[in-house]
Amino acid sequence: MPVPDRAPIEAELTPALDEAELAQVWRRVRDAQAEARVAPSRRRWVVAGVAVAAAAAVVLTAWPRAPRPSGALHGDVTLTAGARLDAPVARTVALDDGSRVALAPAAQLEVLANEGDKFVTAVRRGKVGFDVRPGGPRKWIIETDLATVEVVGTAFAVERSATELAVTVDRGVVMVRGERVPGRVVRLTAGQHLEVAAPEVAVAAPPVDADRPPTTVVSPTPAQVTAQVTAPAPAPAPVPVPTPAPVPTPAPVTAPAPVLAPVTVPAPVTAQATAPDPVAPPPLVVAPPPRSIIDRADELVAQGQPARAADELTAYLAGADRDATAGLAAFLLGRLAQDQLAQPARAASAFGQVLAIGSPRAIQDEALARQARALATSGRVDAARGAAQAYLQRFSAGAHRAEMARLAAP
Amino acid sequence: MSALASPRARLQVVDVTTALVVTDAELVARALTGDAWAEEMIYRRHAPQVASVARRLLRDPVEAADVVQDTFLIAFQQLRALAEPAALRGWLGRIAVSRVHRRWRWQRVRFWTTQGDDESLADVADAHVSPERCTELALLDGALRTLPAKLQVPWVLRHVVGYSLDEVATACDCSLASVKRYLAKAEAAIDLHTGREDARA
Repeated sequence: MPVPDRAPIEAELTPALDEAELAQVWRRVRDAQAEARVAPSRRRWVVAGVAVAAAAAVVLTAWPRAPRPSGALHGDVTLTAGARLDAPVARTVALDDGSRVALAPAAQLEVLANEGDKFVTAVRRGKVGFDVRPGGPRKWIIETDLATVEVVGTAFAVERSATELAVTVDRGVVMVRGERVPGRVVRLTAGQHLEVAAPEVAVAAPPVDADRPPTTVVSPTPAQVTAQVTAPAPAPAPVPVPTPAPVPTPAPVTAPAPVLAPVTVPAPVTAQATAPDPVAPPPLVVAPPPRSIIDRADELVAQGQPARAADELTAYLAGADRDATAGLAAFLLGRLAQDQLAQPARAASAFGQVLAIGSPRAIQDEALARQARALATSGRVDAARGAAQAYLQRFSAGAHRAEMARLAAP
Repeated sequence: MSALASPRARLQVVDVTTALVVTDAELVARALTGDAWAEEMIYRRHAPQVASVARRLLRDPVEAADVVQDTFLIAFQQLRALAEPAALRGWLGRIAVSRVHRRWRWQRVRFWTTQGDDESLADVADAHVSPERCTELALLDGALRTLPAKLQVPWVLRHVVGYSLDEVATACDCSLASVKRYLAKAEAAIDLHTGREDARA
């Protein structure tokens, strides 16, 4: 008799176990596995007795500690500050708290801080999806040059293209903050989408040296900000999108883009393409967009030229606004000086800039700790002590408090 | 200075991969090296089917959860015994079915002390299922209860859970020919019980 084919009846039934039940079972499996691993060792200890315990203690104290992983992505590793995730092809990084980070092809993400209570990353480029385990102990902060995304437990995607930043929330709630975000902060819920336009670069002077980019910047005005918030129908709640008030600017070369309009970036016009006008004011010298300086520094570091990267960051910071991008650039400069160039005084100065700018907020404690360390290394003991004491006052629960306590001690 | 509380552990990368394209065979190979993420992926991918096997056979969600737990604990302990990593689903089904048989044996013992009020297929029908279909499910459920385990298990795996014939054979630890024979016998018995045989006549 032929066996009739039919659709599985399971499709007509409620799930055998729902997600919560399956997650609970998985925790039980994990606990049982851990117990199974511990139990035999307990039995061995009982059998072996005091002599073996003493020998083990000797071995444990004498055994050299394995070097700490550097953040390379092989096996179980720690995502240390400075670790970088590049994705030539799409890939997903699974973290041990159950969270996932999915990088689209060509996306790049850098870890700025990885501590018990927070995980701070910078999306350098491309689209990165975050599935943060709800109820986890860490606050996740995603920095970009256009905005900061803060979240505790949710799923969302951050895409940094050449022209804009897009944040899409699949689950939960995220807060998007930034100078270019309408009203400086927007609360996004599931299904909502926010686009923040990159500043438009109006006129670019040709670089003197083809290898070196221009070194100053025309800052965008709030009126040049373009943002778009969309939500699925029916939307849970309309997200307010206040129009930024136009602010007079000395040289607004392009008309401000209207709110809720597609973003267009005009092709740069080189000053040398037209004949110079003797009565006209000197041409604007326009630096690359803020993201470019960090990308440029990254490229130079990758090419083994950290000193040149530091020089370019220094030049950029000389004319930059005190915004999150400048804060990131200063932080990168400080790290280069401290970790690769052995220039602690320069590092301390750069971290001081991060603290003076006050943005991104998420890396302030790391910057202060690094500044204290750099001051100590450069021989400025009193200044180091002061910085360490400031750290302990500002970040009493910070990850570096033990080290700072040692530095702060007289 | 007061003692400093120990900080929480930093986040660790447990793996880097494109999860969607990792095959069962790759996951098994990685789990064998102690890759915790691979184990979790195996669980997430196959736990719903294992739960379905357990619940549709045992008709009890609590017992089903216990079977799922036992199944994966055993699977991870005995993963090296899996000859064909690509046949992971059927192999997990076999472990689950063996645990179900064990629980059935206990249920037979407990039958003398407790009254069974296990759920029927109609009880767990989804909200969108029509009343007529619910009635059919109730009839089908009554027919399944009359079947011996040797016939009931392959039929449930094949037509309720949706296993392929090969997977049913693996899960039931028998040949493909035997599976086809059991399914045919089960069909005949179900038809007889539900009156479909009469209708055809």
